[in-house]
Amino acid sequence: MVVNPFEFKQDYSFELSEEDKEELKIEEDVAVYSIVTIHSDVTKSTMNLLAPVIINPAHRVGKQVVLQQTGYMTKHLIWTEEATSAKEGV
Amino acid sequence: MLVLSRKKGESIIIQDNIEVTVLAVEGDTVRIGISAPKHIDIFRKEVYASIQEANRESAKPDAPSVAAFMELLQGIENKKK
Repeated sequence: MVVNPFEFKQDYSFELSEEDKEELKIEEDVAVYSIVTIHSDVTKSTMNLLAPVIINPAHRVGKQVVLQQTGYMTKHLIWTEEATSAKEGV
Repeated sequence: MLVLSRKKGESIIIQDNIEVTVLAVEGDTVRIGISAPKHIDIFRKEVYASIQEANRESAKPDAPSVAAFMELLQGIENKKK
């Protein structure tokens, strides 16, 4: 399962290396997905922000890119505790 | 495993176009320089292993967890509106 990471982490940002841009023939359009790991406690499910899947929809090519020099982790919590506890309070 | 001794500044060549150079040695830390063609991906092994592990875990969620995940997602999205 993958998600749009920006939906959950609005300030997610990274720089694609020239090599990756070249390999994926990226000009303008680019789709970014994060691979989800569903935790046995679903509220603790995580997404992989260190190695997003980058897709060039125009050329139909994509790959999992490992970001260099970032503090992002493979297991970033999708929801903050507040978000999930608010839900449970319904 | 091939084992070689190298001094600071010396290097090894792998398959014509990958060069690994020992830049510095300080205590138990070795600084290594790698020159390789652009299409060769190079990672610290622990980073590589953690990504492999995360991918493996992501690939095997059981159906009830997926259902629970979707339910939570919808609940949170509805709350936002």
